Amino acid sequence: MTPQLFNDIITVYPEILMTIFALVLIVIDVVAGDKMKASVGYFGIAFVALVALLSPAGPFIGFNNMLIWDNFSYVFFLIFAMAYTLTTLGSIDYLRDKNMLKGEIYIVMFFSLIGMMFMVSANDLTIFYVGLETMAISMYVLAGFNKHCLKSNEAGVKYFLMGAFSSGLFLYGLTFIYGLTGSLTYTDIAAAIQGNTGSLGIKFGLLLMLVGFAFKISAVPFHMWAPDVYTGSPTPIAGFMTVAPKAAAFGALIRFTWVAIAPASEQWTLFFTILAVLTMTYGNLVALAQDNVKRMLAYSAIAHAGYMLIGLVTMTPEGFRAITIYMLIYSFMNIGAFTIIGLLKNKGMIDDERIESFAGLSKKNPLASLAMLLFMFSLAGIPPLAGFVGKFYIFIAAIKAEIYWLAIVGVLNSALACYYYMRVTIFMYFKEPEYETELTLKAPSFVATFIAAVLVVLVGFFPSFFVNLVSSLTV
Amino acid sequence: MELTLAHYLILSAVIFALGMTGVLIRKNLIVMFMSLELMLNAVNINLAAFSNYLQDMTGQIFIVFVMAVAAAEAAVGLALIISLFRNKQTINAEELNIMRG
Repeated sequence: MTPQLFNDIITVYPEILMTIFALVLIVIDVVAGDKMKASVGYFGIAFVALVALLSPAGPFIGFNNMLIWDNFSYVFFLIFAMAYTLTTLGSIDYLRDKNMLKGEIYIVMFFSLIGMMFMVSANDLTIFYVGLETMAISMYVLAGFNKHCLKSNEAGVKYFLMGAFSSGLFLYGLTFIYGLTGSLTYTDIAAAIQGNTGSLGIKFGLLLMLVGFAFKISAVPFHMWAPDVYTGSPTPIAGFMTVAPKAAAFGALIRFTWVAIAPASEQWTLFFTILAVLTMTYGNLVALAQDNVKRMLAYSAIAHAGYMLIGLVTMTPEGFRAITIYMLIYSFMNIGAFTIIGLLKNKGMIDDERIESFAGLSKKNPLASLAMLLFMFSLAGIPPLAGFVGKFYIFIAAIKAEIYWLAIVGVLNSALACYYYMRVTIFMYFKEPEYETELTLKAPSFVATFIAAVLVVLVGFFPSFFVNLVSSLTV
Repeated sequence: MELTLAHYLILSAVIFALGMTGVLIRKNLIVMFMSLELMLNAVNINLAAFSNYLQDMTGQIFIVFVMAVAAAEAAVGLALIISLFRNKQTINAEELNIMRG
């Protein structure tokens, strides 16, 4: 084996492992009996953990600079692995209850993970595009997974149409970049636009590509698909969709802006600033008016993308590191909240996720409502919980880059957001229930909620340990 | 008259604009889906034209990826549309409005 080939294989080794494990999962699904389908999910978790342990450290660049495996890819893989683990554990009871516990859901989710890994590790637009579509197509399937439920059908179709539309825009922009720079590799693109930042064609191409990215991270004004898709999808899957694909898109966007358009980054800070301000403000304002908690969290997911965009506006390594930390924290607190929402059922004909369903939950199930309280406080960014740590580093990055007003807009927005998060806790602890609801934490969902809640508290109280861990990996 | 790069770019821009308008204004999901394919084909024309202009194979290789992905997307997209039709008996995009707020 030549050293070159060896290097190439090492670079793609985690993805290869994941692909093999995904195929093994299909076999396990066939072997497992109808009552045993949850085992596919458990095996999936074991495989993800195994890949996390077996991944090589240190930067490897292979396939003619097309693919990179470095600490940045590894941290984002950890985010995806965390999202997969918590979603799998949290979804088993929900899916069994709705009579749709099938092995496919865990397999498709596993395949989407492979796509996300390629997105973040890509140093070439070809690989990025194929990874993006691997992820996106899996996501369309997951959104429409409950095929007997009209909402889920609608979510799937809407996600599919808007997703394909945004990749169309992205690709059309990509063709101009290819035509004017003569390459699809990030480093070559950067070299080609170095002395050519004024070119109108390149600006046009980059604009379309960044709009494509903005669709994927559901930034306002390209967010119109997000609330409907998150509301319609099966609840644990919606939790997964607000975290993992968004993390992948952010990871890829960071690598793209940091490497490929670094010479022209000055031109695009305004674009990202507008996106950040609009996304935060719109997401929070509309979330205030929601009576459906799932839909409220969908809008809050849009708002959180806005906070993360602040990190991108700074265009500094601190900002990018802050995004990574925020994304990791966001992954467990949001999935935890979605797990609880998925488990809450009422016996009437009204939607399960209405805010009134949470009334009096603290008396019926104190543990679950305590966990929900922690997630809501953490999402609101109240110290000393994990969400505060994430927001803190984002705003510090903005202040270090001397964009004070953006940090202020962000702080004001998080103050605004407190209202709707607190509303849920007020309903849980101080309101009398109007109709009967029930919430039972069975073993798998208990473990998922427990892990998420413990992480929220631990990261909140010992942020330096956690942040040092992440920064030692990302630099 | 000789065909230059500009001719191909204009052709693909026209096709792309047609596809984009189709997605945005048509109401039938199948027609919207066809318009999406039109957008992707405009992309392919662009890639082939640039690839020939630059005398570089990358663009043509990328076309194969775009086509493969479009095929996979078509399979999933049509399946989703069918499962919607089974429950709702319509594929009119304007009637996809059970979620509001």
